[in-house]
Amino acid sequence: MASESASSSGPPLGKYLASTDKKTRDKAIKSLAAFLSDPSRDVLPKSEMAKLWKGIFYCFWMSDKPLVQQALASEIAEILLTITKLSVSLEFLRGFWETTVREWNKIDRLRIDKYYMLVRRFTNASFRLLMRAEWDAAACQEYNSILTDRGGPLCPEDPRVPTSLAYHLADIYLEELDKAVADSRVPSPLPAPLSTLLMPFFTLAARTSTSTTYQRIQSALLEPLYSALSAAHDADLDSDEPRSRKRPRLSTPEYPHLVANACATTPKEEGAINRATLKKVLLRRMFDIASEPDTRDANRRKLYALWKENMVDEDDDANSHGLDVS
Amino acid sequence: MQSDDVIWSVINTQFCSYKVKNEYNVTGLCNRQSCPLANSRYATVREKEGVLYLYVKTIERAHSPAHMWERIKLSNNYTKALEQIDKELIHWPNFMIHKCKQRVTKITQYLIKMRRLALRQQPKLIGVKKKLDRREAVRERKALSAAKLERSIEAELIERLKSKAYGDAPLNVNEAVWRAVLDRERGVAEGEKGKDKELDMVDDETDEEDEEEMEEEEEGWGEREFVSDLSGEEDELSDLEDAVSSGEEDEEDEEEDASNEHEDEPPSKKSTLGKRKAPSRTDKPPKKGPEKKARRGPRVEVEYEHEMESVPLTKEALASW
Repeated sequence: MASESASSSGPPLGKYLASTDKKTRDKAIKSLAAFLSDPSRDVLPKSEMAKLWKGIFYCFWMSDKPLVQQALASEIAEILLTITKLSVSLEFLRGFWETTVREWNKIDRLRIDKYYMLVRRFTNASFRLLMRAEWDAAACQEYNSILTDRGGPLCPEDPRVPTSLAYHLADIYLEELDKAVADSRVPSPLPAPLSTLLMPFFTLAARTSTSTTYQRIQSALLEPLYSALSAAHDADLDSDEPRSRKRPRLSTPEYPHLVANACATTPKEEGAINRATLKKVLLRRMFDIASEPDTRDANRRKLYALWKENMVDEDDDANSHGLDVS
Repeated sequence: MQSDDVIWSVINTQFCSYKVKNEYNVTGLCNRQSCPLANSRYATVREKEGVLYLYVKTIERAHSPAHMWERIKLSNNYTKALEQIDKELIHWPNFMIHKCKQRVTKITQYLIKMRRLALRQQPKLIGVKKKLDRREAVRERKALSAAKLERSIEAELIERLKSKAYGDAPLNVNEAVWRAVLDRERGVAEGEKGKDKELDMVDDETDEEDEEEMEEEEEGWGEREFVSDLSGEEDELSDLEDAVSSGEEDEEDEEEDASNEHEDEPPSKKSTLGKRKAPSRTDKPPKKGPEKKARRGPRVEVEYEHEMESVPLTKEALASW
């Protein structure tokens, strides 16, 4: 078939990717993976990548049945890791986010769930990709720019970016990072540079013009993270102490793997750092961003309030802990 | 792209050829939620020849109507069927799952009831079609009378007797009939009565009128001396004709008997043959006396010859049958 012959010469045709027939689509995806993972391949031009991603988008659009969709989402996300060159991978990821943001409003309510799943798979795969690159600072920076640049899902300036993507990312971000860190396929993973990875959210929270977006980031991402860091702090030092003492956090996620293996910015130098220290670093970073001149006043007030609350908590914890020890 | 809302707005406010009668409708209600046309994601349960099937359609197949519905056979076991629905419709809206299960319940119950009713012996009711029966009966009667079965069979049998299909001494033959046949063979002159009888039977075309005529003849000849003008005229005519016909009849008789003794007036015979028959039959009784009877016998032989057109069954023919 033409899609097979295309694997050697050019990218597979969008026609085959978006075919009604599942077999044709599967073949096209296979040839696409082969085409992209070719080590001699250079970065595709932007327009080519956009065409390719439109095809993949509609390939996923056509896929029926939950199990098939899951398999396909994993397969597409896995392409990110089969590509040998980091730059090509990141370009592929950029293509994904740009296409997703562009096409998001066309997705109907019956298909939206599977696209959420695709987003989740891609978030997970991109963390694994960064982990494979040993949290290279340049790569992390590139990744953050993919998310926050114009056309990215966490871009604070562009009002056309669908907010649902930001909400969803805020919901799943730490969860997927936790899963990626816990991935048993990587022996002795380096600690995740949380401060760097959370930069897009700090920026978005500071600069977003919609209060709901801020609310979502705070309630779904920042608060659970801070509480997890304090909870782990508690559990680590005095595990027999009843946890319900502070707050009912039965439903709050704890990110055990992430909390146990995280650092601020440079994993190789810092190593896995203490939760309390990490929390302080994160709060400090959040405070710094909140005090930047670009930050909106309303958001700045809220961020300060959040910072203050957590600092007080931290002091409380430190005090009580100090008392316990002494 | 899904266009459920557009479809529903048309169906709801303008026109729908189904309303609740769409066979994929899971609830039997006409509303937005349970409309199989206006929902791209839909599931229903249908029964086909006692087997339950779960029909599922999803948005991804909406563009190809041939593959839109996915049919899944459900287990005969009720609880297993419910589990199957749970499994197939995982993550579906609760409404769909619930309604499908309700439908399974309903169909299972009516299937059970159907089987029970089928087992019970019940008298089968058949409608009486009075009109039809009467019409059939009338038709049958008419067909029977039209066929003239008795007469044609009789004629055929006598034909066989004559052609000796049953041999020279047939069994089980009416004495009188057989004698008539023999007499006719022996000669035309003798056995007037027998011949008459035979003629009666032989003549296919003679109908009851003729028979009656003959009876009249036998009972009251000589009575009709006085006749009307017309008949008188006819008498004269028929006298003339008689003069002609006597020779002709004789000749025909002889022809029939294969005794070519003499042939008179062949041309005249040919000219009168056609027109003479009809009047002679009606007018003969009044004008002829008993002595004319001898004439009359042979005259009917003409008709017998006419009869010969249909090949009689001969011995050989019967044998080669």
